[in-house]
Amino acid sequence: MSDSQGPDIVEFLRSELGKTANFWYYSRENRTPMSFVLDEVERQIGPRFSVYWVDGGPPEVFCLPGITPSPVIFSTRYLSLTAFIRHLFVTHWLKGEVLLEVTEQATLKLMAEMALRHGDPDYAVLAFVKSVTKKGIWLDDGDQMQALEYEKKNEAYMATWFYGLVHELGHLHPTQLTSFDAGKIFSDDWMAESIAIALDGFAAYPEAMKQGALDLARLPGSDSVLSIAQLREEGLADIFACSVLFRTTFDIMREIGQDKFSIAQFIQEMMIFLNILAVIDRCRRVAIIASAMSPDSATLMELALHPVSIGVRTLMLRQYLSLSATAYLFNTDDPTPEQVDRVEKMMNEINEHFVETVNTVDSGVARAMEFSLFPERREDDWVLLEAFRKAISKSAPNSVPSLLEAKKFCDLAAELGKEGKLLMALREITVNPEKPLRPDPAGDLLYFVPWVEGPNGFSRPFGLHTKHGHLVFVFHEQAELYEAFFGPSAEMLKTGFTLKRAVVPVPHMERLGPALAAHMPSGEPFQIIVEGTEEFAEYMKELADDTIWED
Amino acid sequence: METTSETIVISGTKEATEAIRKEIDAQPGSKTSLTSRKNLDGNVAAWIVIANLAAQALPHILGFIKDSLGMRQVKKIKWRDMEIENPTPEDVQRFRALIEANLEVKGDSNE
Repeated sequence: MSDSQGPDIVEFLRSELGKTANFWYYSRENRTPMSFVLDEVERQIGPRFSVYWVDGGPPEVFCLPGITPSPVIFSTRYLSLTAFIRHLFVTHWLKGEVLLEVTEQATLKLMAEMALRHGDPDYAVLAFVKSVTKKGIWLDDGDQMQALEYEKKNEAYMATWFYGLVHELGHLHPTQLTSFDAGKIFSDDWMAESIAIALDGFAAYPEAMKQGALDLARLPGSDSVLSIAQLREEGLADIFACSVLFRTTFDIMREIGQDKFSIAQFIQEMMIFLNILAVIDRCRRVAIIASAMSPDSATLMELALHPVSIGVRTLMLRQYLSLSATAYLFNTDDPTPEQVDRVEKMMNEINEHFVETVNTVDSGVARAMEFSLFPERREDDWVLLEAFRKAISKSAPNSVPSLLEAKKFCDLAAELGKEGKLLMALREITVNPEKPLRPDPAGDLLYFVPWVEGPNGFSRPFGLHTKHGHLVFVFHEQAELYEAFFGPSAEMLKTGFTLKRAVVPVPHMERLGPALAAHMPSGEPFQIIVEGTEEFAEYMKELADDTIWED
Repeated sequence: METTSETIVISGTKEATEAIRKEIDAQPGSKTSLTSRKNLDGNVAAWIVIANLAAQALPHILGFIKDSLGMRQVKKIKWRDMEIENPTPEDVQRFRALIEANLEVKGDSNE
């Protein structure tokens, strides 16, 4: 027997939120902005939800629409995080290179936290140390609940506190079940056209990828972020959030009488919130991909498509904001074309005002993504950790904030029961930042590389000058093949040079290139040929046939 | 044997959770809910079955999960304070043995 009233929600929430979270059912006994907003939601959709307040869990807001009443999660960590990310978009002195740097550091730290909760603790450590090493500007990204409570009750306050919550409640709105006839707004064709418009904004995406994205969007049952059905549902939930906040923000500000409600400010906050969502989601996705040894192509595609989905949601939200702002400003449900134009112009000006900031934030996120997604481009794990250690040693300036952050990070890891060798090393650093690190190769991948040593400190991987370029052969084991290669290679060396057997430990395969490159002369290109690959087999055959050399 | 009720939470793909729900619903005295989990960013993070069922039926359900479903379709199984993520068939088997030991249920005559 199925019974929607039967589930043990507490059991489920404990499973989803983790052992470190405290949560409770939020009752609306006191008159607060939150109860005011929830009353308005209930007026519109009925008593079909139950809100749970969560302290100390993951920074996530979600709902379970299949259960009645539907649990909706209000996470204070998420609230603090959105307030923090909002600073990137609105703090007037954060501009240019400073904004770029702060965004890179902020998003790396967010990726670190997300990886710590749901991914690889060692990648989390690397993202964390990168985010705080030599950090010049410190913004509070911790628990800001008290400060947030005492903020002025205005457009920014209401959007920061309640957009996410009311968006989730919007999933329960009956319009979610409405069908959208062809030719009308939000119909499948309208959505597909909006997706195409949003994709046009991504000039770097290849045409084939854009076509693939459009096909994916129309695919029935697709769970892509660009799936028309799913995207429409999210857009409608955004519109619901916006409509509820429009009314409640106006009412609360009028009742309190501190500031006058500004429609331009309200529109700005709505647009900013979608950008905040985009940043947080990209961090979450990057953390997952960076934690995977070999992410699948679909996951990478979804990472690229999520900003497009936010673009479509923005287009949907603009439709609503345009109508409602016109109705508000001109007190009419039947505006003239001139009135509509004036509102459109105002919305365009708001967008233009933020274009530079949004682009700079995007660039900052891109830097953090490069660090996370291209391990071969970053410094060695232990070099990064050692740089962090030096940055928090007594002799380093401004070392205290980084040390405190590191302690908090280690505490969170301990609370979550996470373990890893880099995490252990970070813990040791926080206990004694003066003690130099000793790399721990336990668990690393081992590669066997013939190595040349010679006069004047000459020491580098052995390589062959071939018609394919300078090739460095790398082996998984010192077996027959290795020996067959090693012997003749040793005989090729000039007098004074000897061939040694080197073992190169790396935490993951992508680090092999940088590890060997560190011993090669700069500016001299070379290729690494790893045993087990097709290239290796092919070149070994050419070597045996003596056809590998340049004519 | 004493009949006690237990709660189990299983998350995975829509197809997997629907099949599991159907199997649990076939057990006498069971109660289930199936829901998606909708995140703010627009992802359907998972589908979830929350079920109350007789303790004796738990091993059968885990056997069903192990035998009938591709393991990549089930993301998490939680019972009391124990849970397994991205389980392999062997993980489910071990989990089932743990549950049986805890409940002192010695097998399921249906299997």
